Amino acid sequence: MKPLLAFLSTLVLAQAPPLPPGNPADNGSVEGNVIWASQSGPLEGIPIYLRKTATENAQDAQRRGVATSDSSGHFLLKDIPAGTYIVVTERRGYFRESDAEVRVTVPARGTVKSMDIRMIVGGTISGRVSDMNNLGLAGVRVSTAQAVYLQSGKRDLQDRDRASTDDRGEFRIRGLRPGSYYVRANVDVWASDSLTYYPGVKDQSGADAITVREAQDTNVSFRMEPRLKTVLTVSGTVVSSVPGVPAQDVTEIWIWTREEGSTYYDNRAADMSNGRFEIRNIFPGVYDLFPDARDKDGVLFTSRTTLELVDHSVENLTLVASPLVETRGRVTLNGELPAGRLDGMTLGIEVVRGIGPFLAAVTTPGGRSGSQAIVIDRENGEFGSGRLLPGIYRFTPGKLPPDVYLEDLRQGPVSVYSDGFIITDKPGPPVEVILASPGGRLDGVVRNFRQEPAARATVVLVPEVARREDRGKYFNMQSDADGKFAFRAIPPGTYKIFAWESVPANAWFNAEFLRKYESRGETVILAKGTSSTMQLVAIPKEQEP
Amino acid sequence: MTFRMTSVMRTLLIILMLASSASPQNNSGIIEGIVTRQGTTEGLAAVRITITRDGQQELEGEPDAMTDSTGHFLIRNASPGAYMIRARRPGYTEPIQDGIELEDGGAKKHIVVILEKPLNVPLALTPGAALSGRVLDPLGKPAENASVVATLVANDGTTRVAGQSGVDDLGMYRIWGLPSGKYRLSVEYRRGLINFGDGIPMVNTGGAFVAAGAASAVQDSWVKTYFPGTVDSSRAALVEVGTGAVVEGLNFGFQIAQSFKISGTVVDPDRSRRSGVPDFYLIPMTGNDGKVLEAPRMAQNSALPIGPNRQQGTFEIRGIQPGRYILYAEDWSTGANLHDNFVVSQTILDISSDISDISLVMSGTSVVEGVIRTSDQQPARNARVLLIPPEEMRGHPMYYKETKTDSSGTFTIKGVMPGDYTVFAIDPAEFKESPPPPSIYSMPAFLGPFAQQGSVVHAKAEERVSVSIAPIRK
Repeated sequence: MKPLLAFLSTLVLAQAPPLPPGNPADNGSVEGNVIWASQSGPLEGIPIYLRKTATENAQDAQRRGVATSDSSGHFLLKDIPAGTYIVVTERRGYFRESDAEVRVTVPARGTVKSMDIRMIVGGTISGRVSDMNNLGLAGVRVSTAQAVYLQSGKRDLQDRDRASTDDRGEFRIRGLRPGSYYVRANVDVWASDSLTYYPGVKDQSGADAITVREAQDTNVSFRMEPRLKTVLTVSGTVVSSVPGVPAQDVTEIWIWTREEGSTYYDNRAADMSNGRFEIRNIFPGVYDLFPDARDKDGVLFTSRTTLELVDHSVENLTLVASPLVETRGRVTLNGELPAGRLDGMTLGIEVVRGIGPFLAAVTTPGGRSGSQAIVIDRENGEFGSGRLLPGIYRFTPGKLPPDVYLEDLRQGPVSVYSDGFIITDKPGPPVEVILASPGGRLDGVVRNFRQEPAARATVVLVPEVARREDRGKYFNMQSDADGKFAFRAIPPGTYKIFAWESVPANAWFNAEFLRKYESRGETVILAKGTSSTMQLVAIPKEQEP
Repeated sequence: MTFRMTSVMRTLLIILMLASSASPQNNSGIIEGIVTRQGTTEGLAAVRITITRDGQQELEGEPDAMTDSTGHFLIRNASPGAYMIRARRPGYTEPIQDGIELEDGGAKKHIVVILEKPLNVPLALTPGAALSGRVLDPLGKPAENASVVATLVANDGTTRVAGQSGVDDLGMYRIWGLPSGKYRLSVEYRRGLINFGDGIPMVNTGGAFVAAGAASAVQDSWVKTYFPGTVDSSRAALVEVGTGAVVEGLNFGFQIAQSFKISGTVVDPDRSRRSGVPDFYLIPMTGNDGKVLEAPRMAQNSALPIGPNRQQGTFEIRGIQPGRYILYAEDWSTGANLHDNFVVSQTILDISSDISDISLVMSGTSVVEGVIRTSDQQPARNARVLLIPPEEMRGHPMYYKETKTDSSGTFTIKGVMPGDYTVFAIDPAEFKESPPPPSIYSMPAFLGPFAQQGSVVHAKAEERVSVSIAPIRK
């Protein structure tokens, strides 16, 4: 099994710009104090340096000097060329009280005094992981995890910090930002089916969250039962659907899985000449299989076969190599031909299920070229998708004229807006990209509960309950520095609008998450071409494990 | 049917060409057994069992198993044939008899799988030993993010790094899973690029970049220190630990010692200044006999060059203890293939004061090629061909090269650092009973008795060298 795109990762150091010439005699300095915010006391041993820009190489920035706070919290950065800098405090396990960037302007031959930096001290989770016989398990990877939301709205846990157990099974994960965490452990072997959550359960839903407090050690011990996944083999034959299409010597089989995306497996059949293939080391699951058959010009022939592997290997599976087909389509605006009104419009393709259009690109002597842009006829709106691999796709409009929105995607009488349209080895009915204008406009300001403008709040327009399965009907943006937001070209309909000071990305797609806040949303009805204004109060930041 | 079609899309039928299922018993042998703690009947859970075909590398996805709570395991789907079976559990080692790992017995065994009857294989593991303690920096604070290394010192004086541990925020370290023996312990702050991978912020503390974690700003003068508190490796105490034993309270502190800096310029083969940034390695050597101090390890010796202007190819390395070193630079950023086509430079330095104006002239590498023939002039196919550096160069992995011969007995090794090497060829069939170590770095010891059977080759920059030799014979 290999990653889809195996880039050779090379370590390339950013080329530092030469330091600007300056007279060292004009340099200034910065002094101040590092404060342990919750104790209102000094914090010792925090390294501080100045960055010219957020992207400046840390090594180059550190060459200007690194100060470390002393036992009274005091620090002094001397000999700094005049200019504006971002103040960086970097020590594992110590966090700034506020996420806001702190800037300092160093005057020529002057000193910035009394710069206070308020910090939070991390906590620790330590404990022991043991086997079924209560013997300490060594070399186990233990990690803290917190909730994230996938594009699908599914809630998942993502690793944060990790540690490894010692010979006693003991671990110590230090420097954790205070908050709520799950703890999980896995043995570090291939095909491990051992992932176990505190307090000793294999199912994520049974996991208990742990609260980490500032500068405190929380003890967490649990048992796990290391075991391995079933490993299966799929073998069979690649045949061609059309005479002259190559089906022999297929060296790779591409695979798509819902969880893992796409990967490819080497054909490990001893003799591939009769189209034989054998792919090994597959875990139980649902897969789409695509043989990668090429003609002498490198043109791809394939097909999509869905297979569910339960607990046994599969032999004699037949995969078909077919030419790729093109889907035709047409763009309409308010039910009419675009007739030049959509100039500059672009169409994108989104893969709902499958391995994307990129493999279909023809191999040229200079290497594999990218997939070609979709060209829309400016008068009649007709377009061709280019040759697509079998799979499920959606068209997404790129640049649209102001106030134009995507109303629907249809294939014949069926809306394919949500689920996408299917490409097989036979051309399907044309896909209609239905645009409409003018969309609704919604402007407003987000404030916090103190009535101050809430900058960088997340404002989300959520469709009515019956349409919430459809991710394309949600719209979101961030408020600006003055708390202002402005939605444009919103499809007419009834929405609920929410504003959060801080919210995990995609969380609003999750029904359970949204249920907690349902009463905090305000209903908005946007009619075609209308403008509305709203004042919102942001939902304060909450800790969520 | 053991698999079924699914239609994931509600609206569409996905056509699946009919396939038949494989019979699980078809053509596969069964291996079962129990793993115990050596010398007891106590079954060990969570032991990973792997089987590998004789002479093959271990691959992911070959049939393997994990023991249950009683220590039993079962592999159902092994194809008939000869294998090596191995038991592993972190923290446990292979049973050792008279200081030697048993080649066939204990944790690994040669087995032959047949279809007719299940094979029953008993295996055993021994708990590893552990060393632990606390390390403080010269200011008396926990030496957080420093790194402690345990070097196993054999009776004949040869050494190998057997384990290492980071130092935590309390100053504690614990090195475990060790075989019994005598150990030298050392602690140092890893300085250099290699730490970036840990996700630990790096801070320049007046010269070297070290992981930002310690409460104290790490100074150049806080040098590598040996237990119980000396910078002189010859005065390091040896800690003896028995099988499965734990020695705790091995506390020591960083010592302050004079250190120096070196600086210079990296120059292209055509003597124009370079724009690339090579990786630097500073490899310590013992002063008198030219032997390297410790087994080769890339990460340990990497040094981050710093300087006012890297664009002009200048470098500076600080915090160096007095001694004799190999300064090695390599730049593969322009090479097509990793370690295949890079440019290198090396020089031996005796450092007893600051050195400036070092000029490292980069040069291309060499290609060593040839044919391995048996005594009856037949091509030796699939033979291991090893390029062993001279003794004083054995501290660095980049000098060692290995490949295998093809069906006509020929081989090619690219990216060879210019210098004098000894080439050896090993026919696996000749060493069935006592296989050579898999790691090339352990080869010099193994090849000692066969030193006369090697062939000396002089690798020159940007040239091809040809050799024709026979495999070594016992």
